[in-house]
Amino acid sequence: MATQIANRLLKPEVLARLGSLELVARTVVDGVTTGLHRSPHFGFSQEFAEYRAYNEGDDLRYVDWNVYARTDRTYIKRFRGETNTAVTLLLDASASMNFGSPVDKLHQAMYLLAALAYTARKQHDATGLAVFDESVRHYLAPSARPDSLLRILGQLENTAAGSGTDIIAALGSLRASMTRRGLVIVVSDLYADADELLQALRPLAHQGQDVAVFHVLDQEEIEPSLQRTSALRDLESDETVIVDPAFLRNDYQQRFQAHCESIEQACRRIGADYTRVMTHEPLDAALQSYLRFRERRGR
Amino acid sequence: MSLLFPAYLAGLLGLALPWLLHRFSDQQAPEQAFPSRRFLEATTPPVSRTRQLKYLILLALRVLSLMLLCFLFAQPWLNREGGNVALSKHHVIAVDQSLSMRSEGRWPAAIARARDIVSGLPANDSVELMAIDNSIHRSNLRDEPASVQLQALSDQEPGFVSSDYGTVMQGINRLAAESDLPVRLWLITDVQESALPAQLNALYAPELDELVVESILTDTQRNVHVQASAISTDGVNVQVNVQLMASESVTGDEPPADDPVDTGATTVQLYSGERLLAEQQATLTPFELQTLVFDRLVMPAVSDPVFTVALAESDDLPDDDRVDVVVRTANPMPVALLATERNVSADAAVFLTTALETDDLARVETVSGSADRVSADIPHLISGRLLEGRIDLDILQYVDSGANVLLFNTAEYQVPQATRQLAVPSIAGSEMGLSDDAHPLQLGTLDWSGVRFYDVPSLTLLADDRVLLQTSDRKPVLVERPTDRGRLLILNDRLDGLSSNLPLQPAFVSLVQSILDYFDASTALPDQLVAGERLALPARVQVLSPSEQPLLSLDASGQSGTMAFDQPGLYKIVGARGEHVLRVILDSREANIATLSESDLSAWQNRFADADTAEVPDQSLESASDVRQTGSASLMSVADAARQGGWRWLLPILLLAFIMESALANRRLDVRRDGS
Repeated sequence: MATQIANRLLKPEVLARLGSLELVARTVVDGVTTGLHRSPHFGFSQEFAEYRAYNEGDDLRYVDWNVYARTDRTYIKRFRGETNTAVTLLLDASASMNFGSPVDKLHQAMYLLAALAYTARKQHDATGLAVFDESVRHYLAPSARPDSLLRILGQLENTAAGSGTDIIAALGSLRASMTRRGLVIVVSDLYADADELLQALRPLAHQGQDVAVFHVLDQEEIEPSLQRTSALRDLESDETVIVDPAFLRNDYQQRFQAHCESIEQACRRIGADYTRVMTHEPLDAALQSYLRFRERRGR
Repeated sequence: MSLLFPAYLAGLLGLALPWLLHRFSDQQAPEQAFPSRRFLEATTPPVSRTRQLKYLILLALRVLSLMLLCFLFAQPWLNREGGNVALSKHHVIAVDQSLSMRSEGRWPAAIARARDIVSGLPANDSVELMAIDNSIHRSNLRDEPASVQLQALSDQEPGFVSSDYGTVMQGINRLAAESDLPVRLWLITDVQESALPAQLNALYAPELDELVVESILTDTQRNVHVQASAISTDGVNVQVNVQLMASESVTGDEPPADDPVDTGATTVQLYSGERLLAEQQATLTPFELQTLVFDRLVMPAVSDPVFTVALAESDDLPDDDRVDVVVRTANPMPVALLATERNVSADAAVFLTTALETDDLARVETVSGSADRVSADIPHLISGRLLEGRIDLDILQYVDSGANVLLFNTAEYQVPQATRQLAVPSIAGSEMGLSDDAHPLQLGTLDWSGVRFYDVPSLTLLADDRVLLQTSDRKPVLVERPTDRGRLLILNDRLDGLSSNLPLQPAFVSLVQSILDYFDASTALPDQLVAGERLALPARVQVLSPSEQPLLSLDASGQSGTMAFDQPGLYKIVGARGEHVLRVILDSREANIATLSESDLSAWQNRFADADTAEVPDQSLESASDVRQTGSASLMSVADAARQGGWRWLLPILLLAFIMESALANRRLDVRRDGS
């Protein structure tokens, strides 16, 4: 029952009526965690995880001296949730994100990022935000300060759809800022070539960043429902194309599906996590995907 | 095919509208936002033949609908006979038989002209001769050869009735509508100006194929019309008033007023029987009324004394030079007003007395008690009674004696509480509703506006009762109850001015006087009638002609009906209540023999002829003097006149086009273009 209530609350149209991003984030995160049998939270838990042989350079405070006394070997105890990492949230705020229903892709991305930031903050992770379209419009460096969450939410609330998109250039300019290893979460509709996206993400992976890609899509751009010949105006370039509905039903959907698959392939090749987020679906699936991603990475 | 209003064809310019709509609506595809054109491709799908066909059909239907609409407004007329129009025609030769045709030489000229026309007609054309005055008179011999019809017509003489070209044209127009052949009308007349209708549109007869107006005037003629009346206020001395009106007919186009008829004196003589009593001379000017008075005449010691007024010198229309006048005497009629009940309103007596004594029509004597106390020489009684049950015996006995009674209701009236407190009468109430116009009282001619009934008393109607007046909510107001001898009328009102405002309205005086006239059999009929008019006659009367010959058969005299009086003179209407002299006079308008000018005649004919090429203007004949003249003013051909309206075929096609257009348009024809 609790899960059903949470799912109902996590519907995009419900979240759109909440107004405050902070409230949105709390609703999403609490809604997700309430329905779980076992909290996947890491960080502050003192739950024992494993023993590991002491290596040079390890902190002597974590040496289990009792074991050393019995076995004459030094082991280090590891606990869950005590890791603290840097989470960098990347938001695509291009004009193409201003599309979709019941909420547009940009707002769905903002709700997702707010929830992720809230979750990260609860885990005492340093959280940062970068908003980009053709270039990086805003950048908040990852910070573990208590007000970092409010700064991120404030920035998100002030974000509006811009012009065109160039995710390759934006990631390239951010690469120099992200020197600390951590998580990089990209939320975008990914209207870019898969090979170019691969080239842009690969340096991040080589830096040791764990990359998670959230592909935000609207059902209308996957399966357009136009019934008659229409002039479709590109939100980014403002160009108009007269399109036959028969083309949209066949060729377009094949092309778009191939594009999505190629993007997913590119993500896998660099070890990035790929999650599709639909504008009409609740955010719990995306948030659980993130938590599983954190769990797998063990950070 | 010809068009009655071709100007509406300008609406065909609107055909550009559907073409523009189709041209531009197909190219403007609806614009929608889309995230990216990365995976889009401009497409030019082929337009299927089916859709192209539907598109063209839809456009054609819309164009056709607009064209049909324009043609409907233009009112096309189609020749029913098609190419056979010139092969056969039906000729209607209408000869004016009105009073003015009795002028010297006019009727023989009209017959001669009709004979000339008949002799000049093609052998395969059909001919009908008819006489006209203020109506058309078709002959029973109309299926016979033209020569037979002409002979029958020539045996007749003009009547004394006035003519009306409007009525005649409309009557012949109806005949032409029933004819299978194109109809040419030959109108042989003296083109009298006074015969024009009040509404000149009545002259237009679209069913006629051709109109020929033949004027039989050859020279200038003049006429003096005599009217007279005689009255005696004291029964001893008589005053005769004579009115003279001179007129003339001219054949040219000059105004008749510029040429006086006669600047000399016209002698007017007054006869009593064959004895000349007096004569006066008058100088007449055309179209000006001249009045003469013969005064200080002694009333002849005979019943219904008659004087004769005549002109000493005869003119071209002698039938109106001599007129007989009956001396009318002012003699108030005795009426008894019976007050027997306490609840008779004092106001009712005042209202009734005032209405009865207006114009010295009656002399009211108030009687107390029952009806048997009324003097035997008073034949009329008015009384107030309770009318819910049976009528009192004394009233019925009084009526059975041959007298007449008007009863009004004395049922008590409860003034509404609210009205009493406010001291303002309620404006609610019912108006006067239907009246029995077939009754000799003819109460429908009175002005009942303003009469309101607030509370109509209950009245028990019998099976034979005849309701002459009733309110708008069907409550009886005036009822006639049949009796063996006298007349019994029931006025179902209290006459107190409270339960209704009837006694306060002008119509009440007219109502009471009409009832009194109806009671008096001799005065229930008019004194004077214009020749040609019809008169409603009560039952059980006989009409004697001026030569004392009975005009009604035994069956006809036994029941009420109407009778037309076509000849002037003094008629007598004899009934149980005595004799009534009815004077039938000639129509003074018809006695005015002034003719239409050439320009007026041309305007009439041009108006008729222009109907198939232009709109029909509501112009007066006088304002049409600048229209084109024809070579022969008396002959006007209306070529290619309208025969039958084309809307009979166009309207179903238009409806079908609308239905098909709707069916196709609702299918959302998705006609695609590349948008370039």
